[in-house]
Amino acid sequence: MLKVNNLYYKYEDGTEALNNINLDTSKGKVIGIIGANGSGKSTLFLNIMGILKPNKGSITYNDIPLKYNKAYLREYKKQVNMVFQNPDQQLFYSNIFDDIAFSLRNMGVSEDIIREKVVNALMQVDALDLVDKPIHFLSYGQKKRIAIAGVLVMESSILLLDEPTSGLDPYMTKQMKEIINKISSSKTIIISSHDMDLIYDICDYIYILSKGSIIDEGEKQKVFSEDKLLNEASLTKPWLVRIHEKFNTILFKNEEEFLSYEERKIL
Amino acid sequence: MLLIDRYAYTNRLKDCSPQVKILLSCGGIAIPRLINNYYFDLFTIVFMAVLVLGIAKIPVRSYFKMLILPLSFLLLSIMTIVVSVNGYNYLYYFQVRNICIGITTESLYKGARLFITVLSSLTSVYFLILTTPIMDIIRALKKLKVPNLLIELMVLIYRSIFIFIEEANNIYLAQTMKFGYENKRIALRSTALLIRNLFTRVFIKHNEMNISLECKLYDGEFKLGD
Ligand SMILES: Nc1ncnc2c1ncn2[C@@H]1O[C@H](COP(=O)(O)OP(=O)(O)O)[C@@H](O)[C@H]1O
Ligand SMILES: [Mg+2]
Repeated sequence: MLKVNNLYYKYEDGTEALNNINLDTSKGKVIGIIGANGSGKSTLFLNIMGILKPNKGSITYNDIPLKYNKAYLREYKKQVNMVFQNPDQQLFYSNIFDDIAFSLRNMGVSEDIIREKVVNALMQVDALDLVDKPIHFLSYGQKKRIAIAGVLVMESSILLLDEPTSGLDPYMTKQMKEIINKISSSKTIIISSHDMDLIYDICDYIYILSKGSIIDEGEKQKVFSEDKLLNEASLTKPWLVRIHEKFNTILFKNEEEFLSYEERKIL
Repeated sequence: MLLIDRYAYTNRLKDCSPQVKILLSCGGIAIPRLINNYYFDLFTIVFMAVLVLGIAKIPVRSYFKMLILPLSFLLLSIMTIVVSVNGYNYLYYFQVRNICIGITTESLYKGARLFITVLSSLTSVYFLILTTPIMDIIRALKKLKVPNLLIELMVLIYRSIFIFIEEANNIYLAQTMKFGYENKRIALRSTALLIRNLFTRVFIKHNEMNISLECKLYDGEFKLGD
């Protein structure tokens, strides 16, 4: 269980990127952090990872505050890890297998187990057929999946995904949604995004981040009914919510529910 | 991505044992030096070209295109050997006051030999880099007990080359789209801007890479399985 307590962060150039952030992962299984560009999502993630050190406040994992020494952070990263927004940032080898195996080899896992885990991770992101391709032959969406697999192999109990669908086409976005749904059964996930439809579909607890402050939090139905706050954060509502409000129809929990309802009615 | 890299991953010899390819390539460089025979050099060149073009099926056109750059450097340096001042037995020369500048039989012969020798090494190296993916080469070097430091440098440099080329390409494209290379004066300014930008961007990327290395529990050694 991860907690962020009254966290403040200021960049060297004076930008106050985060102000008094409080966050608690026990509130949900898939936690969404929504905010416009520059609202501080990536900065928050880097703070949670221990890569940036907060100016004030603390981060606790299982009620133990984060210690900023190398050995502690190394163990911590086995529990809490992150997929960056730009997949190229996380890929080092030109060969997919070696790239995904990288962290396991750093942990000193034996080759037999590595093989098993890599195959397993590739299966989770539906990319087993890519294994023999060199990484610079992959499309952006494929790279993104490989980057996720590379972090999944570590089997951390908390996974941060920084804008997992930015730059993906609708089909890839849908696949990414399925992948996230699949992996959320075994770990807590924190997703940052400004893709409201995605967040509405897969998250069960949501924080709204605006200019470095959390201006609202709660279950998705509640958060997405706050017009004023969403406006303040320069965000829009998911289409399911908009249809519900405009036509006074049922508020569906996700796209799947909406689609299956349609079918029943037609039949 | 690099053309060389694309061929390394797609040629017909890519699954052939990297050790054999490395041996062949090193042999192509070392043996002609030991034998020191003009015909053997020629044989090496033909042999390597046949391997690359005939068996690995690298397109002839791109092969020669890729050879042009090193060849032009080679020819330039050979020129300084071929042209001799105040020699004997000139094939062709001109005189400036009492200094003779021209080509002698001997210098021509020397130049040709050197050219063939260098070309034989060049084709041997090309054979290796065009048929073997870098990771295979690195793995083989690891087996040959090459120091880790060198191998790490190779992995990182290789990765950095891609980052570098990609960034340079992105900036260049953006500049041409804004007419940044219309005339010489503007092109010069754009190039300066490109270099400056490239420097800062590569610096940022380097930082990002360090962060993600840490996230993947990197402890100072690039590990490769067997
Ligand atoms: N390295 C940095 N130095 C200074 N300011 C930064 C740096 N990185 C981000 N910022 C600033 O911090 C704020 C939050 O940025 P970021 O966390 O990247 O937002 P998001 O990920 O939500 O788009 C922005 O105002 C941005 O300009
Ligand atoms: Mg961001």
